[in-house]
Amino acid sequence: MPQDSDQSQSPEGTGSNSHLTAEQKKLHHLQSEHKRREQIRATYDQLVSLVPSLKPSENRSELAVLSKSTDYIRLLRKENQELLALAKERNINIPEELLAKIRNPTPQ
Amino acid sequence: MSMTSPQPVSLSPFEYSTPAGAHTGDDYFSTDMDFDTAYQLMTGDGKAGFDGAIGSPVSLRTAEEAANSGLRTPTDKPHVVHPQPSTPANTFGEATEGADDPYRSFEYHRNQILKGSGVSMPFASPRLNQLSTQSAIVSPNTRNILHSINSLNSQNTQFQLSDSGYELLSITETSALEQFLDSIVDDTKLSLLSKHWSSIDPLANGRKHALPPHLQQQLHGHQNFYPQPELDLPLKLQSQNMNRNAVSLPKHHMISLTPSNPATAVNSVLPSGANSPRKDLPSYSDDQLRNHLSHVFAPDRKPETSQTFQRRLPDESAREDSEEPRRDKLKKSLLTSDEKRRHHTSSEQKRRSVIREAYDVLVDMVSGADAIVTMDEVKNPKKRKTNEAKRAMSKSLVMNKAVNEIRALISLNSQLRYLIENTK
Repeated sequence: MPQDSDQSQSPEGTGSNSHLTAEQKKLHHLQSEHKRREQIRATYDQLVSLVPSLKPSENRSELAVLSKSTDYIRLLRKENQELLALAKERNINIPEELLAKIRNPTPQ
Repeated sequence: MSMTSPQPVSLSPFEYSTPAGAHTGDDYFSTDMDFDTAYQLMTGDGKAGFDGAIGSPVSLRTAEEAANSGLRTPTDKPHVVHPQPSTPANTFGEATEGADDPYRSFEYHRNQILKGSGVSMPFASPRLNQLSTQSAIVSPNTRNILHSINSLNSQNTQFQLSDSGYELLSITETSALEQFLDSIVDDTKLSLLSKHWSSIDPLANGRKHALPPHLQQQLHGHQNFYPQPELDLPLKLQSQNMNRNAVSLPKHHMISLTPSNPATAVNSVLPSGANSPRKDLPSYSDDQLRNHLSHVFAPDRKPETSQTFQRRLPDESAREDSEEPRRDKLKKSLLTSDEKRRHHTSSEQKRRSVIREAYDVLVDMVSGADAIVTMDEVKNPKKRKTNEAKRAMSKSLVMNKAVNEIRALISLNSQLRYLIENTK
């Protein structure tokens, strides 16, 4: 999905604009800007649904979303470290895929 | 309280206590003043006196005033004669009790007075003669009014007034007054206005900077030793609006009004309000956001804030250095629309920079070494790690990374937890 969002913008913004009038270009630009904002907003909504400390009413507060998400990530990482330490302490064998950093996860 | 002897220590706003004891406790700016006070003024109906503590933003009463009061001319307070029968006079219900038609009665007496038929005024403002309009910390409007009254009194002229067309206040003053009255109804406007006031009133500012803040705070505790009641205009008004706005303004929004009298010389060194007023009200209204901010930034930049200042934005402490020049700028200016816009722009910029900061933290976190999700490293491997690259990352990309990071961490942690619990 993130990859999508990035690529979908460029063709619209720069692609087939040679034969477009200035007005069409402007419209296009507006549309892609709108789309961009929509995408960002969608991620905000996702974050709001993911981060427990974010209330649904805060999905328009950029600052709240940003900082609470940051906090939450920090918390989760700490938790992760603790869990790993605990597992190590108890000599639990941790499967390789849980130790390796996750690459390109597919969001649900 | 009205018909009794002078009550030097009551805190009623803009109060006129006379030895004759005709009346106490009205203010020039209360919405209720126009009609009810004028009514009392004309009829001598002392029982209509207000409890001055209610809704009284301006305190201009001194013992000296009371001592010097005498009979006055009908021209003393012509400016209050703006009958407004529709004003919410009954907010303090007892005010007009007992008169079948106070408005009509008022009109009658008003006409009597304006025609010079010699109805004596139960109270009026000769005492205002003693108000030095220079030293009293009053609003510009009030000072103008006082000037007008003083000049009227000194000339000792009996104005022959026609019923209509007499305006003591200029159009500007009237509109300013109206703006104020409106602001009583609207909290947000009020806080703006209080800012506006303290910024356009050089005297108010001068006094506020007479002492360093910490000294002012110390002295503030001893204010009761000084005879002049000092009312904090916005707070006072705010209290009326408590039910609407549960959180009272912080102290630094106060404007203090001090009556002038011989003691003013001493008093002028004293704090007028606890703290110098902050001109830079944060533009956000979102309390949660603010609380959150304090939550987020509290550890590294805990300001000097005590409980009283909880509502101050934490990031303001970071801006403290830029505070002084801006305050100076505001002091000079009469807040033109240009000024207002610039002010607004600067606070908006501050708001943005706070958000920007939070965003940068997130970017660092998401693209840092700890990041579990490292999906975009494949895309542009050469650019990453540098700061420009972080900046250049599209916002939705960053946000998506944050989302994915959170999801990955959640699933990772739950798997780890499962593992740990089941291999016990």
